[in-house]
Amino acid sequence: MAETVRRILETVGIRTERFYIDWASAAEGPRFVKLVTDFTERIKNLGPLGEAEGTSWEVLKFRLEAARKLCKNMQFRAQYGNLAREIKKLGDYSPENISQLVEKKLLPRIRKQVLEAEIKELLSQGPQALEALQEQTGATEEELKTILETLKKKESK
Amino acid sequence: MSFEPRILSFLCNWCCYAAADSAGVARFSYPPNHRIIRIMCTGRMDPLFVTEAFYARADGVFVGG
Amino acid sequence: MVEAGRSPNIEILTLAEVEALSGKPGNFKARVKVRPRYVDPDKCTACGLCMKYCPREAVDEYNERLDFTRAARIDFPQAVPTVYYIDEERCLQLNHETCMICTNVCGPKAINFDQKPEIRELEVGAVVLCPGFGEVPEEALEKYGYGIYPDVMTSLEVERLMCVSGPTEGEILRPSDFSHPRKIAFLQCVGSRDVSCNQPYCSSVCCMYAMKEASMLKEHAPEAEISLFFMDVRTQGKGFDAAFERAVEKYGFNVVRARVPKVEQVDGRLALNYVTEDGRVHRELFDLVVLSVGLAPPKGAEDLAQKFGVELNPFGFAKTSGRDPLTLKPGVYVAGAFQGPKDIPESVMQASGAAAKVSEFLAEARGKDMVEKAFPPEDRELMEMPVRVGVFVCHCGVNIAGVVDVEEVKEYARKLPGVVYADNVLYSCAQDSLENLKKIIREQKLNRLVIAACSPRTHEPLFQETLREAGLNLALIEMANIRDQCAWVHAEDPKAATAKAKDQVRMAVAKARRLRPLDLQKVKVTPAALVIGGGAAGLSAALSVAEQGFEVHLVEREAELGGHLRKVRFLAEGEDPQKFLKELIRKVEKHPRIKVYKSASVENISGYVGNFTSTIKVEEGSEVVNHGVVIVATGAQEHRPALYRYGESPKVLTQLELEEKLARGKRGLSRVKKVVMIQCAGSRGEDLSHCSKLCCQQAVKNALKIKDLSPETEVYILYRDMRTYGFYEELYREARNRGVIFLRYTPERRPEVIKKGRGVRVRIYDALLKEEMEIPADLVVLSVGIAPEKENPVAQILKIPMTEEGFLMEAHVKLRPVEVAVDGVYICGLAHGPKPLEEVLAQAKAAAGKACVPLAKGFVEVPPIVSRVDEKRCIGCGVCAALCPYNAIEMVKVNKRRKARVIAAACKGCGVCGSHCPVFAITLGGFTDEAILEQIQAFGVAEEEETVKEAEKEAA
Repeated sequence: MAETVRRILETVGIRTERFYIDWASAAEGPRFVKLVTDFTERIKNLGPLGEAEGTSWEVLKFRLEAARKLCKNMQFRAQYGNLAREIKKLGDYSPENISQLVEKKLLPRIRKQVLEAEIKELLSQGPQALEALQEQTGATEEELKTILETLKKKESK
Repeated sequence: MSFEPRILSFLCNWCCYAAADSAGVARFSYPPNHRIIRIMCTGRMDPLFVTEAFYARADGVFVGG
Repeated sequence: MVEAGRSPNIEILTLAEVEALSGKPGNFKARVKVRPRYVDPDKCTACGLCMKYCPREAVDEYNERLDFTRAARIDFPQAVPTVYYIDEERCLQLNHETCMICTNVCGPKAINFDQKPEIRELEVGAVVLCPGFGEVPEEALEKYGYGIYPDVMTSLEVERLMCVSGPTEGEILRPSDFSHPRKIAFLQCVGSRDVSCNQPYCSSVCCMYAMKEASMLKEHAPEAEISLFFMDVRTQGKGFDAAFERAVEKYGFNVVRARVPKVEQVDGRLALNYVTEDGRVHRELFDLVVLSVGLAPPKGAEDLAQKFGVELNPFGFAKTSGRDPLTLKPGVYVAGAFQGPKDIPESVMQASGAAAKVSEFLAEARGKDMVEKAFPPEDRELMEMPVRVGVFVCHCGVNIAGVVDVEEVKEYARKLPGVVYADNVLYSCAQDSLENLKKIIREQKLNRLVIAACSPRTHEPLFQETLREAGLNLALIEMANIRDQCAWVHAEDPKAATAKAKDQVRMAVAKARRLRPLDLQKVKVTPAALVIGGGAAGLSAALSVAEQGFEVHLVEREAELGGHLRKVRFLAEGEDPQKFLKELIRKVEKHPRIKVYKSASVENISGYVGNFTSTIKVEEGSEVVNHGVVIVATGAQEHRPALYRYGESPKVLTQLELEEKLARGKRGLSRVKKVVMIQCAGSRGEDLSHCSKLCCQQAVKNALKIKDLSPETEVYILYRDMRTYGFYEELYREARNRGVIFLRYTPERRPEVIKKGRGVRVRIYDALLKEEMEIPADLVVLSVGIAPEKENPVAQILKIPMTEEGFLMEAHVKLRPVEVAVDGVYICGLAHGPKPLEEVLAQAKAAAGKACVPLAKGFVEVPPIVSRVDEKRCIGCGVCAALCPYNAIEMVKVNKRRKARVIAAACKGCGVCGSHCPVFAITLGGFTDEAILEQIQAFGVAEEEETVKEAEKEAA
């Protein structure tokens, strides 16, 4: 879950440090206090959402909307669920393994869906240079090509 | 005025939520920036909840298992 | 209290006294005199008008005589029953036949001066005596100027002062001039450990409560300087030592080891003269002196003992034996401080233990006169109406209202979407508030409830029950935790706390709007118990469950039953532990309902409360058993420190090894002229952080045994604090009288054991002489303490949480000492924490008592937090079944299609299934996606509100 979330945030352009998962047992009041205090400190240093990212809220909002759609998407969820099942079966919960699997199996779809939405939006504002699109969204040339093709297809339908 | 972040915390009923209660019983103190949502277990966490939280303009999201 | 008051099988008689008990055990007749209350409890609504208008003042006993009250009154708002009463001794009408004001102002006409004392004959099978404790004799207090100098107060008075509903509304004012005391002294052992006023025993609880009171005083008045005067710091309870040290560090208490002989008044302040351990004389002035008063036997204990035909011990408490701390005579049991001074967890354990004893004794008659609690049918119409949320913001006394602006929160809540009613309430959990809650639900037609109060982990079940009583489904409530996670932790920033409380309430309201009724499911219980561990705790728990009429599977990993107790040769109480153990084992082994598995281990436990299935591995193979509950009594071990040259010299032993020697009589001590015992060897900050509770009395007991066998042998006990609490203090005194030498050391300068040739010497720093001294020893005996099992596979299988030290963690330290977070699992004995045999036995009975609750009931109700599958949406992918950590989802064929199905009783509601379902076909009771998303969105709304406000400001 955490790894997937991090990849989504990365794609959206939110610093992954803004998301944090840790454990404290019921007896560990002091530990909880430390976790919360440290995390608050970290976020304080990052500043309001968007500031450390250098991205405006409007852009982030738009991308987050795409991410929300992604998280509700059945195909994505099926992939996500199957991945969890696979990891459980392998019994390898090492961060490296999970990171690798998520990168291989989920990241392409995450990027595609979020980027696609943004490119579509940008294009709707008028024609854009490929380089500008690339810079704006952080998409690779290849990703951009596929996305543009899908958009074309959808449009022609 | 210094920046006071708004942080959303998802806490597991049996672990972190209980730890947070016990921190209260012991009268510890910590920054008041967290808003807490109780879940029965971190297993309940859906990536959707995190994106939704940022969409609701959280400056940070903490999941406590 | 509220829970007991609500049970249909408990009749509470207040203002009542047993006059006589006749008949035989199992068939007693108790003659009870019920004094008139002069208020009809069925009519009284606890509105308080009678008290408001009552012209007759009375001294407020509940507030420790620090305040005045009225002749018509209720002692405190949470009292059960929540009904007013009239003080016979003070009332004008009853004494002078004039007044009747209360009768006239009482709306429901509940006042009735015609009530007469009533005699009731109760037929009962058994009796449990729990009259609590009484006050220590006056002379114990007068010694310290109590009653002469107004600023000498008892700890109980200070407790009332600190209470918000107390005489000063929580302000700490000293009585002489109503100023805020800046320098406060706590004097320990007032009326305890004091032969001069005939109170020789230790009251066990004062060290800890003094620390608690001092901490609370510091919270009220951070500038106050507090000194605590101890002889020994006796914080031997589970986790107490750590709490004590934390408090001393946090609040900077001045801990002084001295007994202050008296208090003098000098220019409006109080002077204490005392001598510290280094021999120096001090004189210090204080503004307030708090006497930490001890626990005495209850008033009228002799009379009570006589009526019930039971004995008292020399100190005036109920006399029990070390083998059975709960029985006074057949059919008459005891629990709580009447059996000896003790803290809340021990009292609760004894109470559950006594209940188990009664249940054993009356097993045959169980269920005959039972009343089932009935709830009114659910009001479908109300529940299906459009959402009408009611919000109740609790003050919790000052716990919340002292920090959070509850009024503001209420006003804020009133405006939230869906909310039709909002109010404040002083204590939402009090009986009268709950009644009022039901009334308002009806009047305002509320169908969703938000209670902003404590943690749902504390009181949610109580509110759920109230909802059911009001005809609503129990799932239609959401709590906003504005105490434990808000007021208590943000005390220094009331503004931020109020903002947080508002946010939490808004989020709770948002979730409440999405709450749907959920069905309670009932699951049958297999009437058998699995007891793991065949030591004293496991054996006596097993015996109790069996005696209560249920089957028991008792698993012991060793080839022989008995556990730790097999190695104990003597008991402080003077009884023979081996004889007792043999008898216990015999009873267990021949009991028709107990099956014993020796050299066995529990391989696997699956299932849930009421329906566990376990695999027991024995030498010949393995066996599968079904049972409804589990009692974990896996014990602990004698610690083995790599310190003090243990294992290097045959002259260095542990206390148990010494007992082996002593068991051989005088021969065991041949040529032993000097014995040095070292307490806390490896405990309290060395290898182990905790106090093992039993070593001090064990050492004293063995020292006395040495003196019995060989009076000329010198015995030294090197200690940090002698923790011979309760009646063990008598042994400590006896040991000193018989020449055992006690030397204190500090943790900074622990003693050292030095090898010299074939002999050993112990080096210790003497604080009085300010120099190191060496004692040549023929034997060095280490009080090594109790260490938890390094690995506890049973705890892992059952997912029982552990404390930092590695002992099993109870569900609530004070109120639920034998239950754990997992339902149907109970704990007792050393696995829960170190304690002497007497307490182990009481706890074992308590675990058996609690374990038999679901067994006797025959069914359990599954909390509605479980997941459920929407079969129409389910695509049968099986991800949920594969991921479920509790194997609670099975795949079934429905009309030839694969569908997921939840086994409700095995489901823990963790939600892994829901968060991984591709099509959102799985919902979790009370934690649906919609509800959580709505909560998250509500979190965001405040941000928008702020932005709007800011924009408005800018525009202006």
